[in-house]
Amino acid sequence: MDSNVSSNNSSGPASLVSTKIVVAGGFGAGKTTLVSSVSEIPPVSTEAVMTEASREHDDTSITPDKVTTTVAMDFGRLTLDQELIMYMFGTPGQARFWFMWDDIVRGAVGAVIVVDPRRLADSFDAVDYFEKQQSIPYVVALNKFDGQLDYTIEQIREALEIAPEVPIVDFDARDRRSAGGVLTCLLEYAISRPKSGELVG
Amino acid sequence: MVQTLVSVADAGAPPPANLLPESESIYRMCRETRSVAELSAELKIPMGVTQVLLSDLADQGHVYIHPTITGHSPSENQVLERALRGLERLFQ
Repeated sequence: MDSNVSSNNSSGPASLVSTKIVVAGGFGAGKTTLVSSVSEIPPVSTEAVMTEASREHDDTSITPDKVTTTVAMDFGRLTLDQELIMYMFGTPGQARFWFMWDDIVRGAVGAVIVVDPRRLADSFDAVDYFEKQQSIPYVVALNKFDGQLDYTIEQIREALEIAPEVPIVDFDARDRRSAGGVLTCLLEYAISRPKSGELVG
Repeated sequence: MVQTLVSVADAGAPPPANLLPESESIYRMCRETRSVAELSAELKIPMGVTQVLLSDLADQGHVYIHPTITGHSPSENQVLERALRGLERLFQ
């Protein structure tokens, strides 16, 4: 009897573990481009359904007070070794959907904030979110769309009020190795950061 | 969590009787290890609903919920190191 339905579970499916990172940033900064560049699958979109106060044109007789809205959430996947899979979740860019972030961010090993250096103000909210989170290590990735940065990294650190220990790197989201380098940088930083658990032994 | 992997114990076994149609679809897909997000996306069942149905399937012992690594405890550093080596292999 051949029960080996799936092809790549030579080490046994039960030993597989997963982890995730979050890709955040302002609208159009390059989050989905980064995920597409590195993911081994085409980025998948799933919908999170939520309710919000209804507007006149959305009204239905069954649910007069609430309507459901669906928000797409992009994600990609990387098989890092035979027993370890990492998912990358893009967060919705528009600030009004950010209450969804908590669910996406919870349990992440880290986050990448993708910043369009020409539109720094669009990143304030994302930086603010992760500065307040504290528990999730994050790196800032400057997406240099046309190969040029108008400011130095230190000027950008100052403008976005990013803590001195947080790595800031520049990269090209369209380039697979460049985008992969950002993930490597995040993991190195996550490993080097003291864990909260170490304080209590 | 959205990245949590799920699989059935015996990929050759038929789905248990009396499952909701959605739960049965989830069970069939879990014959290959999948994440909650992938199940939700492929079956077009919203994430929150997928999580509830999976949690019922797990309570009844039909599916196995794999561990996730958050990196928040020092004991997980070894797995983070493995992740880093994997990334370096892929993108060097």
